Amino acid sequence: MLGLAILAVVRVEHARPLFSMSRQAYTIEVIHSDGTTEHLDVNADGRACARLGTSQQLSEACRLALNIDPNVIAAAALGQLNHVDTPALLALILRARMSNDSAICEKGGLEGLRLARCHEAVVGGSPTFSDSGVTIRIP
Amino acid sequence: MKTVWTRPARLRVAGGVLGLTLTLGAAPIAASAFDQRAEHCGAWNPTNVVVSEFDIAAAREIWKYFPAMGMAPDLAASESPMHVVVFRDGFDSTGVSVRASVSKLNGVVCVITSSDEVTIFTDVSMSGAIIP
Repeated sequence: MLGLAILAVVRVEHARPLFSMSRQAYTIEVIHSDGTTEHLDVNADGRACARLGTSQQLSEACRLALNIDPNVIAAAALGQLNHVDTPALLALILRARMSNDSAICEKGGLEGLRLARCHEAVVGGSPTFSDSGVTIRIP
Repeated sequence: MKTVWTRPARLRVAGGVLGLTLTLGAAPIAASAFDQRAEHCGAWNPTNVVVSEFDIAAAREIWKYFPAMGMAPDLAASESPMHVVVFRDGFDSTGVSVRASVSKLNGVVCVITSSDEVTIFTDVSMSGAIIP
């Protein structure tokens, strides 16, 4: 009886992880040089990002944007987040736009002009990004 | 700004980091409660209030906690675990930094390697920071 009573009050608490490693699929549009567009479904494995292979920046951003935790995305910039345009910046913009949540821009640590660009991308029309001859549009 | 030193022997100063600092909102840790390693960062000075300290599995993960912290090539290249100590604004570097005349520093984050090399970052931006 006593044993049962003790069992009733002892509970194992698991610490909640600080960072979510969850991923979320999304769709972007790839605009080809002839003006045609292609929907790119990016599943959690990120394999579809290889389609942007000629642009290392865009393909890396494509993979990073699968993460739902803005801190995990931002950390990939290794301290350059607010200094140069990194794939992490684009990935934060992608994630914020796709989640329709401009708070992601702040949560990811963006500041100044890059924060403003992120906000604009969330509330404005479908933003496009180009690099190395590849253009993507976030619906 | 980054100050790096190894206690007690080596002492060196490295180049600058960035901008904006915000006062940390978390409750400070009582002076008697801080990890012994925090002392290497200057926690022995009662003026320097430890807000939080925690371990990270790899140095390059520091940006998950402080995404707007500037560049730190040593950390970016390191997969080594580190202990992180976050101080309340108003850090007094007297006696802990070669820049003895600089006191009341803000945005102070100290990292300690397993070999007890101590690096102090100042003016670390708290934008997007997650402090356990």
